[in-house]
Amino acid sequence: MRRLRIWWLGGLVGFIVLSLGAWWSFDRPEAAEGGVIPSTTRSEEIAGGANTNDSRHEHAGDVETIDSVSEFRDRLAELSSVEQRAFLEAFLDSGRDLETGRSFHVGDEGWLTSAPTLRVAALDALGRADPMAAARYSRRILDTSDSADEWAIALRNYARSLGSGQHDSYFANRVEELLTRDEWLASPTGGFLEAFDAVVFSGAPEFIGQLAHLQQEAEHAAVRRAALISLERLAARESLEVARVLAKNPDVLAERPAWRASLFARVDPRNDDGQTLLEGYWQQSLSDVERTTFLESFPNGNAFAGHFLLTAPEPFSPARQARIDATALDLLRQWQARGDLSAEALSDAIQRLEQFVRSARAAGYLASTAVP
Amino acid sequence: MNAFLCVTCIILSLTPAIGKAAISAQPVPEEEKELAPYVHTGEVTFENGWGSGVLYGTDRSFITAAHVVWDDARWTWQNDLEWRGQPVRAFQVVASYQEAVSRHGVDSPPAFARDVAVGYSYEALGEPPRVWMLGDEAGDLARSSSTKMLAGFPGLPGDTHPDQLMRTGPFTAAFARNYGAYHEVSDVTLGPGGSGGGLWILKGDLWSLAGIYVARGHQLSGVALLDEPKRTLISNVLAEVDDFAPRLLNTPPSLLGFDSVLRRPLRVWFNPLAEPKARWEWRRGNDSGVVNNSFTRRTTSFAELLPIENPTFFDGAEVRLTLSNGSGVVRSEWIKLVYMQNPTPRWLQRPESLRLDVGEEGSLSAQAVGISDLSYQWEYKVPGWNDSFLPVTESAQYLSGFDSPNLLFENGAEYWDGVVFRLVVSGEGGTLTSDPLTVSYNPMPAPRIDGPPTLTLPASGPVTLKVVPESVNLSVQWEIWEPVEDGWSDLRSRTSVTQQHEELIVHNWAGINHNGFRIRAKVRIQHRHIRDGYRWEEHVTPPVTLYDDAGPVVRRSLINHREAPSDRRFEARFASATPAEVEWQWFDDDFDRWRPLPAGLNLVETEAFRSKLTLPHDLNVSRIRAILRSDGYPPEVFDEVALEPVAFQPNDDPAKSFEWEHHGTVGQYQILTDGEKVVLTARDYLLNHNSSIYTFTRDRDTWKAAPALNAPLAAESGFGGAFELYENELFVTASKTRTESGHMPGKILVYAWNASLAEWQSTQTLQIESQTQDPGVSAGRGVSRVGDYLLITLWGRHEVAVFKKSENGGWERFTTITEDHLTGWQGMEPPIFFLHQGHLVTRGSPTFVFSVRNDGTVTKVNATFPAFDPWYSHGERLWGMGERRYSGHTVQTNSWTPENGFGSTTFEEAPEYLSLDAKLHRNWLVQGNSNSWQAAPARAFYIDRDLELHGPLEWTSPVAREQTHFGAAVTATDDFLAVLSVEHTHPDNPVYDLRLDIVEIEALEARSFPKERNWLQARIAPDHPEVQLQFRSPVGAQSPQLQASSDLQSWSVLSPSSEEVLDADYDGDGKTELRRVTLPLSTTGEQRFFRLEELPAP
Repeated sequence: MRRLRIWWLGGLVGFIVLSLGAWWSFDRPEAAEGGVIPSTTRSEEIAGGANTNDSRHEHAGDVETIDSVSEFRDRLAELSSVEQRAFLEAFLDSGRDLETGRSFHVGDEGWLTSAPTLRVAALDALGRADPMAAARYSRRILDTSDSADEWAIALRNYARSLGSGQHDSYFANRVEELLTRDEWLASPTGGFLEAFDAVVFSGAPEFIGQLAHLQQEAEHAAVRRAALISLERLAARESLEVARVLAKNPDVLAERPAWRASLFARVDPRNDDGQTLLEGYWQQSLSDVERTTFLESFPNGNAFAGHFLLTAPEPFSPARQARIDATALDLLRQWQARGDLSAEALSDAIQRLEQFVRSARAAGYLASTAVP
Repeated sequence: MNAFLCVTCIILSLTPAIGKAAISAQPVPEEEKELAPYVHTGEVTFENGWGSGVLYGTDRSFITAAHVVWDDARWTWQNDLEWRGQPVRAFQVVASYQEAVSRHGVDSPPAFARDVAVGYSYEALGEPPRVWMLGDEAGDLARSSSTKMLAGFPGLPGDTHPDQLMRTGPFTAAFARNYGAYHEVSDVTLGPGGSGGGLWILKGDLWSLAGIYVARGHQLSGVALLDEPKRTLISNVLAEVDDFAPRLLNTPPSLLGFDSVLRRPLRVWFNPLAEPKARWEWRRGNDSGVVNNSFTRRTTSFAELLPIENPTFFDGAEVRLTLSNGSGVVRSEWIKLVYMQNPTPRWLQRPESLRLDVGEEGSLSAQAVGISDLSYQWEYKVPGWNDSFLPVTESAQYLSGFDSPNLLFENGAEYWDGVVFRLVVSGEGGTLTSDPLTVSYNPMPAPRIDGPPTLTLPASGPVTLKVVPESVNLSVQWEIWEPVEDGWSDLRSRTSVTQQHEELIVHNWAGINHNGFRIRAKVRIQHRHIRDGYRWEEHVTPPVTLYDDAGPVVRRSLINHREAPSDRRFEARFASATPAEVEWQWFDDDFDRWRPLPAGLNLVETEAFRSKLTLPHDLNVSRIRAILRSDGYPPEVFDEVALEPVAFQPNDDPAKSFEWEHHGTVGQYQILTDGEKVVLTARDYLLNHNSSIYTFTRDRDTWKAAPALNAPLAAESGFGGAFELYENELFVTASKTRTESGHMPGKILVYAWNASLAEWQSTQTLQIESQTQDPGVSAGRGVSRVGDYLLITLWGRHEVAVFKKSENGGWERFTTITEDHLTGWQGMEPPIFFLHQGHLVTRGSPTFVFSVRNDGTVTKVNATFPAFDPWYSHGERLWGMGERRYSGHTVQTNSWTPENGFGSTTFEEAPEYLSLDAKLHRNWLVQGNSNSWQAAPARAFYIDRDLELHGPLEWTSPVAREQTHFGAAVTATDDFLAVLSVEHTHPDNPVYDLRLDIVEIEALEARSFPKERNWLQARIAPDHPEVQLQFRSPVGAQSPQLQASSDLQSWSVLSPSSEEVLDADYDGDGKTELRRVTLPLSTTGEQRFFRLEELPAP
């Protein structure tokens, strides 16, 4: 058992060292060792935080002597994972920071492949060395730091301590704050934009109003783009809840009726709630554009693939999509049988879905009853 | 203007002149279009334009340039894509929140570097390329020594929808890296619409896919490399579209000739992202080996061309191909090799004439060998009808294998009697034709019933009779003659039978209880012949006489006459020449044994040859069976019948329902029940974060509210942040006033329920450590009462304070579960605990198991890390919520015992419409109405011991309405369902109306048969660690003597405060005591042996 534990720790240390190595080698071959910079973090507040534990500093050595990226990396490589946690926390407590000259770049499973500052790198490394400690430290960052990049990693580390789908009001409040910090919206950093994934992780449809607002009104194009991606991904995951919020708030995306329609088109019609909502939506007095776009895109299965900070991309499931298509076809046929509106567009949509369903049956994703 | 132009195909007004390029696109010749790499290239079309793409990953997906589908106005809902005219179901775009598009524009190198999308179809779109670059793509691009080519469907200026497949190259010009994965080459152009087409590099004799054409400038082309991050992303999103195991595309021949090489016995496909290892093995007799173990990577010719260096050695040997990668292993069948110096096919076995009986199956068989796959064709000639041979076709009646070495004559093939056949074999090197041969049938004998003329009925089971000879051209009618009847009658009118062609199965002789009855068959034969057409012939078989002298006979399995779920009528039929009776038994799940039905309940009705049982619909019985008993014969057991669980439904009697309402600034609410009371906290969100605690108790058939509890001191805060209800004790968190340091020492207020006054009375205040500055969570996140322990989760300290019940009934600080114990715990705050198998088990994932000794020592004894969140204990099993599926959680169980640790997890897929807010309450999975738009029911599913979900029980509150979250919190017992509704009444403030509805559930307290007296109960006194076992006799037991059978098979582990029913069945063997009981003590982990002694009657 003891041997196993040593092996595990050794593997962890190696992994972290390799990961840190990746920060320095990613993207640009030449190493850039930035000088000591004043931290954007209110470091004194953090250093004087209630949970500062002096004993751990003894294990970590004197972090005040660190004045280069390579020294930081070498020091970390010498430590066990327990010592790494102490070292990283002491370094973060010290308030010192260095620019690395790298971008904020997200890789597999939300780990960074390059970080713009040493503090961001340290937070990322703390998340690997001790997830629980990193989650606790995140609250201190989120309560005191003005760095959007640090916030991004703190949100990720904190979120990983939450169970899937677990609602946490603290997390939700911080995400809300993130989306409304004017200075970050005006000059978005890479970490700030990646932190939009926290909205997706939260699964909270309440954010779509703010996202829609940012997508249309944000001054910076990068913010508009990040808002679009996060809104689409949130809708892909929580289609019913997002559509409910849209239905209750007709002003949201009112100037983008086609986009609105495409979000309703993500609703899964296979259960009663979904069908009820779609029926209600269909019966509303929609503009021609919105009604036509809905029919053209329903059911909408398109998505994004990427390396995201908190969430994994959604794999395409043909079996699930086929069942959704079959149910959607039934629904549209009911509307057609009732002599509902938009007869021509409805007929086109039915024709398209018949093609999908026929194809899904031929491929064995649906029972091969008579082709519609 | 930007130096680059996006080549998006939706631009219909194409930029006119590409300029004088050194290398430009040329049409792919027609005869090459079905070859690689062009066959993998396709046209991606949609309403407003087109692009190109390359099949990638699986045969149902392709890769293209993201800007082919990307149009800022509408791409996310593009739903009309086609690949070569086939529908594309959906697509995914490789993207990032910090999209370079937004910073640099769509026509920028950073945007091009990531310009990739994947499209999916339900059906195969073609065959993906077998070879992709998997290594140094950038290096190969940069080398002018490597041969490259672009292919796609570019348009010419003015085209609106070109469908001409074009290629640029081969060329050797070197690409230069511009940004990230984006590379460019000068003086090479493909053209607009080529976007998404492939950049191919010649590796050996095969074209490998290295990148996607994404941009063009003035006489230059730009590609996005398929670098490792993109490949990883794409394979992740393809994970559900297909598996990555290698495939065999055909069945190998069983026999194959060869000269110096083995030619194309197999076609294979594999995904280069999971390239398999390949191995040819050989065997002959007891010898075996590997034919050639050096195969070049990235080749597809594992199976197509195998050089044989020593042909005479392999003559007569067998070979097979094995392909394996991380996703799977596939092996071909063994192929027998024949060395051939002359390539002309030759016979190994010539077909011979065939003679068959009517109804018998047979084959004309041959064996030939050639150096390639051989084709076979059987031909026939009908004497006197046609003079030349005609090919046998797939539609030939009663024949199969017309194009194989074996022509099978099926039942009915006397149709071909006297016909002449021959076989023609063709292959590389020539053709073989067999001599003519004849197939003939023996004349059909008169039909008879198979077997002896007399038959004794078997003791049990059905009887099968069969007319021979068998033929599909027979039709049979079975008849019966009984001594008391006149003449023959149709057997089907007398009893139940199953008849198929000439075979008859008689299931039930119950109505024919006479020895010496006779059975015969009337047989009609249809003669069919290829030359003579149809003819009919009728026969009557000699009769078979049947005797029944084997004692009582179970004539039929137990019949369940069920017309409705609640209908429980059963019938056991039998036949017997001697007096016999049926005994009905029910299965006692508690004791794991069958017991006779109690007499005197008038549930059984007995008639001659059958016994009927009617069970009340609410009787809680899981299985029944019947036993037939007759003097002088061994008992016979009817098949047992499993019964549906007793149905349940809400009681709609208004007198039994309960409603309560509250209005206030409520930010948090929770309800608990101990089966007798429902306790509800409503937490003030605006003021001091204190809760009002409301208690509701049963008053005969209805419920009533007890006086509410509030914070005892106004200065306190956080009252009711967490609470626990257990056996008439209530534990409530609270905090003292904030100290100067900002800390707020916490405390737990303990209340005891005074049943006579129907109110809570304060009994004790437990102090706990300072925790956090946040008044909203100040006094502990969780309180768990676990047996005689009380565990307080200390917010912010990552510790758990443990109190223990003292001898005087109060609570004393016992120990602390510290951060060290919780190393590896992944929750934000320390866990909540419950008791399982005498150990403390954490809720949440991972699951930790702790033992606690008498001296307060806490030891972690086990942990598991699956996505499994246990909630409560039942026997050896932990129950909880499992991983999240598409639209809900699964219900899972996992066993844990001190001896064996964790077992394997099993799960039951929760119904899809159970959303994430579904909650697990012991055996109930409960979901409120999360739709606040309209009134909808709360649902509850009952989970039985086999993990089967029953229900749902659906119940809609009479006042459930729009804007009301009916079921914001729910709790349930086997008797009632308590549902809290929340209505947000003020748009700007957290002001809510709370409403509690309680509905009684019917039929869960189902009746069961009275237990017999031969059992005892054992109880461990919880306060004595040395353990005392006391036994209590059941009501009415006389002089309880503890006797036990020697085979104690089902001892359960007893834990403090638990009660277990011990099976101590009297068996009359004179033994008066249990042999031993192995009892792990929860507090020490030790095991001791006990003798159970007789106790005086209570």
